[in-house]
Amino acid sequence: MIIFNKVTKDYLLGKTIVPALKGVSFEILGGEFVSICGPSGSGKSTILNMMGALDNPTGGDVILLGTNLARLSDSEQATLRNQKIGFIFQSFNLIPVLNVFENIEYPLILQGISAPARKLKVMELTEQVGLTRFYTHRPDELSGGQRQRVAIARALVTQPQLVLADEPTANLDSKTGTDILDLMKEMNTRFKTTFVFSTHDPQVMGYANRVIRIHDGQLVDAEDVV
Amino acid sequence: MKSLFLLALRNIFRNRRRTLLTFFSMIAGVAAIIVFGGFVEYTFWGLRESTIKTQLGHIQIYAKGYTEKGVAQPNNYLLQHSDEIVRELHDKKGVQAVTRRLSTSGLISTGEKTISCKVIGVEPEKETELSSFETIIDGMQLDSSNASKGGVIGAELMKALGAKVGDTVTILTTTGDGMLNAVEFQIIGVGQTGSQDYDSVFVKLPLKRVQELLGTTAVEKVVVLLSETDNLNQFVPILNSEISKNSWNVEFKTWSELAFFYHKVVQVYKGIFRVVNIIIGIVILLGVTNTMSMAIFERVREIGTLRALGTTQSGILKLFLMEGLLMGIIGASLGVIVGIAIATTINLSGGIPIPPPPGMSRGYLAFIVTPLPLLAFSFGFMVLVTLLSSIYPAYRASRFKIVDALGHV
Repeated sequence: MIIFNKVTKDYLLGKTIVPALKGVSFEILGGEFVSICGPSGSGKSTILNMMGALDNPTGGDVILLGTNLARLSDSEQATLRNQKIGFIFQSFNLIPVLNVFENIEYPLILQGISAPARKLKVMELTEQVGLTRFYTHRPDELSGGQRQRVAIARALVTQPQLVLADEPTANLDSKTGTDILDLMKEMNTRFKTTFVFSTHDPQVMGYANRVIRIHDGQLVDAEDVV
Repeated sequence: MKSLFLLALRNIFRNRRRTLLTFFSMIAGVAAIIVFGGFVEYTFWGLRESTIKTQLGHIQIYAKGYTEKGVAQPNNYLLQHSDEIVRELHDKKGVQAVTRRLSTSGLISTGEKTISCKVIGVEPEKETELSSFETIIDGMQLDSSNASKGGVIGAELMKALGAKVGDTVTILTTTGDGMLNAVEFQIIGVGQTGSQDYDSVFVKLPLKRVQELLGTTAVEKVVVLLSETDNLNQFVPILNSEISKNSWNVEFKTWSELAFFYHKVVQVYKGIFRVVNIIIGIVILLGVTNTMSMAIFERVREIGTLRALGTTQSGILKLFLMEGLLMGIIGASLGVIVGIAIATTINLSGGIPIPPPPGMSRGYLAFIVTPLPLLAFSFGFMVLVTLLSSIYPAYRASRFKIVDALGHV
């Protein structure tokens, strides 16, 4: 599914080059529920960004579904993100002017799917995340947990092969966070979608069937939890 | 496309106060273009019609060679058979009046004062029609009932002579043969055409008397007045075919070829109008660019999200250009409505009093006309300016690095 091969990433901070990743290699298989964890600044988000074709590595290769991401053009990367990857963000990142239905629908519009087909899929996902009652609400009328449910529905509506979640529970209370993780796990089991999420919360790590630990831009170890 | 439109439309109204402020400046811009443009159009119309209906008529027909050599030898280029031309043309479609004129220069004298003047022989029974834009400020206009009594002179000339209505004056001129001749007449009216230069020289006498004065039965020109100035283009071919059909040895000029002052005024006003438009355009350009840049700055993270979900760079560009276009269309439409409302209010309240322009002897009441081309221009101009203003912000938004945009707080 995903192969990281000696991936490095440097950021330019003023005139200093700051290495964020120092040659990271690992592989994630299809259908896995993987947690990437480490303290803040360790490079978790950088790894997720590169997996999601949001950023290109300075060195090494990121291979997603057999494709070396760095070799894709900007619009090819956009298409790949739209069709193969779902994103869940720490602060939900819903589009404020769109209601629940429209937010979930947006990736399908980009795919050029017809309105009736879109409606069917969106309603199905809205039901699965338990928000049928709220589908005409705007994001600012929802609680944090509800917003993250919308984000999960949006990430899954295109039936992607990979869902990336950057600290998905960090902005939620622990009860809501647990609900969200349960929901993600359920989706993982039901659709066989690969989930990769970053966290520094040990409780959240417990949900993963594999944990990739990262520290100072380097892999510490990879372990199977289950 | 529909979803892009919806998204753009909602984005426009998400920050209502800012959008309203931008709309206000756009509305003010469009309304200003319409009101000023409408004033200019009215002024053009007024000057055009007053030039036509006080001096020129729509078309002047002369003996062949007159326009080239007639100034030096007017008597050699007179129209001998003008009756036929008048007869043939007077019932043609779109023609309001066909009249003949014979003019000469001479000296006018009250006995105490003598001043040079331009004597114009007119057909009194048609004069009211042809000079409908001429104001008689004292006495009466020349017409068939009073033609035997005397003539009308320009207001400025009257002032210079120190004469009054009812006074008898003498005009001295030379006949076609170079003999001195004089005619005496009573001033029955004082006319004002608006043009100061013309008002300080003209003397209108019945055609017959001027013909007697010059010792001729011919006329200088036949003047055609149409019912609408816009009919001119249809009338010219009719005139041409009449000329060739009847083998008239004549040439003609349209009012536009004779109205030098009008064209100068049009040039000046158009220049001013252009400058005003450019200033308004720049103000709107800066205003909308600012609004769009602020909107984009507030939405950096959202742009990152849209990109992450698979929107391409060109998709972001299109979204913001669409916002610009929609803002332009909405703002310009409101501007057109407000512009028409202001114009109507001004017109209903009786117009704007304008003091005499340079070279004119009287001021006028300006109204605001709102012809369709002007409305279309102001609308299109504003939409274009707004769209142009959104290009740079839209381009910037499309070039954000996704990771930086997502991390933007």
